[in-house]
Amino acid sequence: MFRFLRTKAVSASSDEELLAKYRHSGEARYLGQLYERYLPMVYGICLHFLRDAHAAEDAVMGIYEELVRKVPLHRVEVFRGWLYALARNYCLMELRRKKRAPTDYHPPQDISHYDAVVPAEEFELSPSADSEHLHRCLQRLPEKQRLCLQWFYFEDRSYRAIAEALSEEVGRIRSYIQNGRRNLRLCMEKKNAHK
Amino acid sequence: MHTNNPPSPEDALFLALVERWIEGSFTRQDEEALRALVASDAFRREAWQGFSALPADEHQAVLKRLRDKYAVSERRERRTGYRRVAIAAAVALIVGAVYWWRSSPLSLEKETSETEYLAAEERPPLPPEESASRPSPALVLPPVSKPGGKSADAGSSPLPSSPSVTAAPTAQDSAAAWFLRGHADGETVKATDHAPAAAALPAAEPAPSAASSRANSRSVQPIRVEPSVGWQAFLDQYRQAPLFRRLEEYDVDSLRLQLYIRSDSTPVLLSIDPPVKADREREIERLLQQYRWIPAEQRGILHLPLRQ
Repeated sequence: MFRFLRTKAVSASSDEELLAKYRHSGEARYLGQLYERYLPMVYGICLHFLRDAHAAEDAVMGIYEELVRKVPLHRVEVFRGWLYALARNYCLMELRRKKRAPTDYHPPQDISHYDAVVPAEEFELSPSADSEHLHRCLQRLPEKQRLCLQWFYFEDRSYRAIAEALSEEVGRIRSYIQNGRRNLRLCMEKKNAHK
Repeated sequence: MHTNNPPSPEDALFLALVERWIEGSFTRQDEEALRALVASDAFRREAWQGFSALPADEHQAVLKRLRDKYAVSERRERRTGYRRVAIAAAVALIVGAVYWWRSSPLSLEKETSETEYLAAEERPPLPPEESASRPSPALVLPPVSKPGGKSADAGSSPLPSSPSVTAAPTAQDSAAAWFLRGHADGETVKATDHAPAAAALPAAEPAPSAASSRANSRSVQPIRVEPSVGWQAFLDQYRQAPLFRRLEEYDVDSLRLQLYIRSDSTPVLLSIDPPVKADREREIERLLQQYRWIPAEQRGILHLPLRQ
């Protein structure tokens, strides 16, 4: 009689268990829980493709609707991989749609934010970096960029600690580090080309 | 970046590092760990490229908004839970009140006086012609209120509508069962529009005596009915039937059926608890009709197991 009183603990369930529960019961909360796990990552994917926070936010919600529609139609074995493909395809379709209606495209207001781009491959300086040359290149950097790089990489300070030391915002420190690293890499590459 | 249900440990670590990156507590060690995580998975890599491509403050705001949307649905879920508890409490209260009323001395006293009234009614035999023109008490449907407020049968029924009379397991039971269950497909039925005339129902039974009616309503323990072939034989056949497998979808151990067994031992299905889909109900009814049941002329219950 009291079956309807039961509330099921879903937090500990695996992706596949949650998906099976959703398929069995049709209760959206299971799919919601599952989607919530990957929400930030899906948002990151949308940012990567759409390059606009608001468009990405809309896309995150759109992908959920797509999920509700497609889960019953497909056999999903590994939800994570399937969601990744779904999110990617959704964003690519959005981009294609925007290309068909170019007037819909609004470039970001503050283009300087793009200075903070950190592609994965830019993380590392070349392992064969000549330390003497590295120091010479470091000295050529603008002061704040140099200080930020030195404190972050050689003194293990966090962004926030550097921001406090320089009385700057964390976002600005992030930019100094990214720009400093890029300039440093260019300097190192120039020297290697001269060799 | 926090989620209530973290994904895999690597993804959870990745999200924690991105959170540190957004907050500003990100260090060189974090960067190394993040680099390793990003290099090993395309989903994380593209997500990171997305995060790092736009100002971090914006991420916080958007993710907070998205999380809030989920929090709203969770709160709604909790509210629904409280509402369910309230409904359950109300139902329990009503059931308790009805039970109390039925077993209270006041109710029995009223019932006794009605029984005496019935007995007095039965005593003077009616002349044949008058008897023919007046319907038998057993075949009279309980008066049904019309929207206008007047009873449909007001004046023509020789009996007052009372619990003991309407509870008599007669054709009225069949009509009532039909009325309560609708056409087995859940549609709302208006008694005045669709209820069949009691006389048209198959195998209308004579009314049991007032004393047995009173005994029925007084008994607290419901009578258990069983097939005349024996319970085990019935169970064996039922468990092999396709119906048994179809009923396994219900998350209970058994269904509680309320039946009325006619004098020829055929059953009338009055109710199923918990309710099942209309087609399942029809199948159950068909199954029951394949057997003869005992005791006859009784209303009773049957627990139909749903598990082996």
